[in-house]
Amino acid sequence: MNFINGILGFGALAFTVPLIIHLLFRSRFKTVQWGAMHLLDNVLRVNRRRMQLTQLLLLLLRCVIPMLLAFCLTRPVLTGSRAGSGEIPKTLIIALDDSLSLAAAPEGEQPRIEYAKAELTKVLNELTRRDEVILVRSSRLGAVPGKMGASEAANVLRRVSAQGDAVPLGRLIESAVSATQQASNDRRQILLVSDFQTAALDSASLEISRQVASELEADVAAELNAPVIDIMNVAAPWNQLNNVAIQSVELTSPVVVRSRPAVFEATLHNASDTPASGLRLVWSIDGQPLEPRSINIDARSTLTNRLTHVIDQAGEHVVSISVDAADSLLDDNQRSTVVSVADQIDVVLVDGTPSNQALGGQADFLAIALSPFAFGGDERPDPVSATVTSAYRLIKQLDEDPPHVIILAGVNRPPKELMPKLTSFVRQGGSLIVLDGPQVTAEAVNKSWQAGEDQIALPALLGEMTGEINRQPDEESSRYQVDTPSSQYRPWSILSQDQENPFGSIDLFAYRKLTLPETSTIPDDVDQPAQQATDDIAAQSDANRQTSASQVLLRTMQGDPLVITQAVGQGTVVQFAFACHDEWSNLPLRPVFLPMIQQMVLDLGGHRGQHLLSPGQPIVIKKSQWLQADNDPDDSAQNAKQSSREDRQSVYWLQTPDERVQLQPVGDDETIQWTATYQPGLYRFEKLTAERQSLQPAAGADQSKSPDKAADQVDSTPAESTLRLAVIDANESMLKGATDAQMDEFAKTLKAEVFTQATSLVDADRTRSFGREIWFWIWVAVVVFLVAELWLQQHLVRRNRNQSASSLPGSAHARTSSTVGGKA
Amino acid sequence: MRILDLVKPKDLSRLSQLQLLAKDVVEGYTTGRHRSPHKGFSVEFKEHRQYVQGDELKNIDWKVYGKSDRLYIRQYEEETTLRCNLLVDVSGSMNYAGDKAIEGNSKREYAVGLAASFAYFMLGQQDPVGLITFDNQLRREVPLRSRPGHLTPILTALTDKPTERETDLGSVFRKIVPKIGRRGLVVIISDSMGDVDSIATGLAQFRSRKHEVLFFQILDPDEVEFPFGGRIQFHDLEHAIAEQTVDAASIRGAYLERLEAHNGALRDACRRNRVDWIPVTTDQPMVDVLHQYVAARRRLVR
Repeated sequence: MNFINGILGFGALAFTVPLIIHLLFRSRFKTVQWGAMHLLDNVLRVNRRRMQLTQLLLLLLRCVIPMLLAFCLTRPVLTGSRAGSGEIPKTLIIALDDSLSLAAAPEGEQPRIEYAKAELTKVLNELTRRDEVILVRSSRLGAVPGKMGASEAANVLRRVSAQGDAVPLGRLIESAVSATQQASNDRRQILLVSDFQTAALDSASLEISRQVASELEADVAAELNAPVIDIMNVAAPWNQLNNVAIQSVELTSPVVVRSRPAVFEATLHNASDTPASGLRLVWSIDGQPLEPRSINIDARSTLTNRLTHVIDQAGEHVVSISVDAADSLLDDNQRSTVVSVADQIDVVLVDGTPSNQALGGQADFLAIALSPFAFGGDERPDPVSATVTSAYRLIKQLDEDPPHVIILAGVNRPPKELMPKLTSFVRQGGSLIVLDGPQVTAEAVNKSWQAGEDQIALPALLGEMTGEINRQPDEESSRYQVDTPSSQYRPWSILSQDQENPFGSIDLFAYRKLTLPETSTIPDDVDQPAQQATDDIAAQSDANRQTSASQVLLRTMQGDPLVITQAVGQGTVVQFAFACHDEWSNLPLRPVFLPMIQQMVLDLGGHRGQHLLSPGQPIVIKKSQWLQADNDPDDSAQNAKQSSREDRQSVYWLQTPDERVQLQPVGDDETIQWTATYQPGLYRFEKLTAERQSLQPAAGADQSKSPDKAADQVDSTPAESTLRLAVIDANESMLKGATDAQMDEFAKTLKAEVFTQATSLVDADRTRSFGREIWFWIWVAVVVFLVAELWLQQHLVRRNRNQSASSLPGSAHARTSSTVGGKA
Repeated sequence: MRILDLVKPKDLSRLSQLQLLAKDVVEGYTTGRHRSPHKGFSVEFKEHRQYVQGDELKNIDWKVYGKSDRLYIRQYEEETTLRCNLLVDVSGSMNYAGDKAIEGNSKREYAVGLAASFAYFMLGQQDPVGLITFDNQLRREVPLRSRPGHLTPILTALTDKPTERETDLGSVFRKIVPKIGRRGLVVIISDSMGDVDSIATGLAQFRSRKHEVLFFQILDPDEVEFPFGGRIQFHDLEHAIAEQTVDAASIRGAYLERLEAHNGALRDACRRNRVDWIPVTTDQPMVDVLHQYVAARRRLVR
């Protein structure tokens, strides 16, 4: 404790004044020679004790009052256990949660981000010129935060908008603590500003907070300069926020093929307590709105809306949905996705044992299943174009016009020249299906498909044959039943929509024992899309990755794997343990065979590029991911080849949601990178040929803006393009606050104080810096003691005197005196 | 010592007009103004009653016998004297003198005046008057006499040197009762400080001897109102006890409660024993008190 006017503390000696007065007056009293002492005896004894107590109390109060007054005048300052930091300049690290949920605005109020900015501006206004500010935004955790002055920080803050993705607050505080290393000043304060959604304070977030707190404790123990953490909760009352949100837009068809109907599905959620009726819902393709729909969503319920639509042009298209709802959060009333519309999917079948007889070859049943309309004489185009060829022709075709899917049906020994080409084909995104056959021997196949530097391996090793190939299905022989397909494999989910085993009527006469390598199999029940997404991200980050875990798609009733899939590079290898021929099973003769093969091939042939990303996630475009912008299906392959030859003369442009930017490729493989994806929305990457480049002015630096005129010219004739869409997690639309327990634990873990207003935060910080002046409370105590002294004197000392004055006419003897003369 | 030293001439003239009448019939030897319960030789005829065996023959009214042939006894009203004993408290507590008392008199001086007035007035009626002063013991005794010169020894005894002893009315009354022979009027003048039960016992003994008792309780106005405030040290007039300084205002309520209880108990004791209790404060003129009392008695007797 410090004193601002310590010298005034000597004023406390004034307590001697009442003490002396008391001692002087103690000897002053009146003496009365009293007769009726026997009436006073007991009263005197009791009164004397009471009077002593009262006088003592009064004396105490009268002594304390001048002492407290002197104490008050010294202006004591509470500084806690350590001395206040005073005027030492500080570095304020503002960890601002600018996720989408802060854009929510209660009815008639401004969005919470504006409130947060206003409060932060108040905090900034309290800073001095020597203080510095580091702004860490949750939407830009990857960016290196810069130091700035308070006024500049206020300007930066003015431009902040709540459009970021959901970020665990643990990570935000972790980034803020890392940013303290850049601080120039010894005194550091981290101010975490957020609305504290429950999703942002999950267990993982709390765990990160604990780690951060333990590191800070270690710093304190090592006498390093640890920052002080404060929390500002800018959440509105959550029950005042009513929100209708589009949670997701997904493509439910396995693949979208040009001129074929595709099904899209959107999930809408009404988080309010009142039903939303008559909402206008609009689907749009590439910005072209379709017929509006009217929907009703019950309170606290979810609605699914489907769109079946035919897209006539191949390429990447943006499918959007928007709903007109006047709710607290408008930004989540529209959501988009990017779909790749494939041209006809080219499938090349290589028959290991071709036959002149109808349906005699190993690939014949497959060829019919893949092109049913062409086989049946229908005029409608098949989504799949199936061609049966030989292995040697395939080698040539792989060089000239690689198909989407290659099916090797009963090929025992692929030509040696084919293997590296197949490897390259698969790693670059092609799909390979390998089927068993009568000529296939385990030794030959296992030898041919060995993993190596430039070669891929099949998902499983071939083993012995189980059962016998039945050339005469009527004969009695061993038959094997097929189990229900893996529910996680979405292309086949339409086969078992009636919940019955779609392969229940299938008799398998023979199949090959497949042996899976250990620790390479993932369970059937692992979420396939999640796995898919994981694999895709991994593929982007690690281009040299060879294989991933395999998944069994189909088993016998005994549990032996029949169909196994494995992602290799950016492509997929599917291995069958049997041949699709009526000698092996009656599967090709059953209705389930056609959709089974069709769906699988469509899934494999469809372009599965990762178009969606979270805001802030970097975009890397590889050479192979460019799509022909000139959507002529006949010339696409040729154009692709042509463009690959002209890569080195290409110019790259990016249209972000806000601006148009020219990019420079990174490295020799023409990879394009863009990291500033903080803005949710569409990012269109365009590649122009050399001739078109000549129309453009000289390119600027990497990721530099270009003049508007050039942008217009480029925009008119892009050669190749690809789309990426930054979408915000649906959790941000779930406007639900963290519980008190979560908040308490979070604050307790970080040893942080929680504030809701800047004024209280500034006061608390001032107290930390300078200590807390307590003169006001002492002054209050002085006033209380003065009042107590007066009360004590009036009520305990003077009371009886007042009573005596008021009750004089009614004294006992006065009444009895009036009865003089009467018989008592 | 003369009566004029104690009673003002104006008061004396008013006093002489008083005729104290015992409410009850008091037995006396001398013929006086008071009626006697004894039927004797008197000129005032009272009544006839039928002769019964044992009546003296001289009392038979022969004239009535002659007229009615029946024997009647003739009864006459007999007048008697009032034997008045004055019991005056001269204990230490009677020495208290408050500011409001008439001429700053103490309770004792007031009591002396009152007793002298009584004596003067009774002797004026040729009634015998005696005096006993006491505190916790009998101090002075003046026998009953009815001659006018008897006032001097009474006044001398009254103005004797005051004592500072405590009061014990109960035990003193028990000692006095045998000394007062025949029934008569007993006038007690005291501040009645002491145990009420003991006082009640004494009063009962007086009443058992057929005495008529007047109890004048003399209190100073200060003792009734307790108008003190501030730091006061009360010195006991009867005991030498440790002096105690108190806040007088704070004890007033408790004191008045105790005084009320004490007076209430005394009033009840007097009522039980058919004793006239007359509370008097020293700010009341004593002759007025006597006038009021006598007037009230007259109304009751008639």
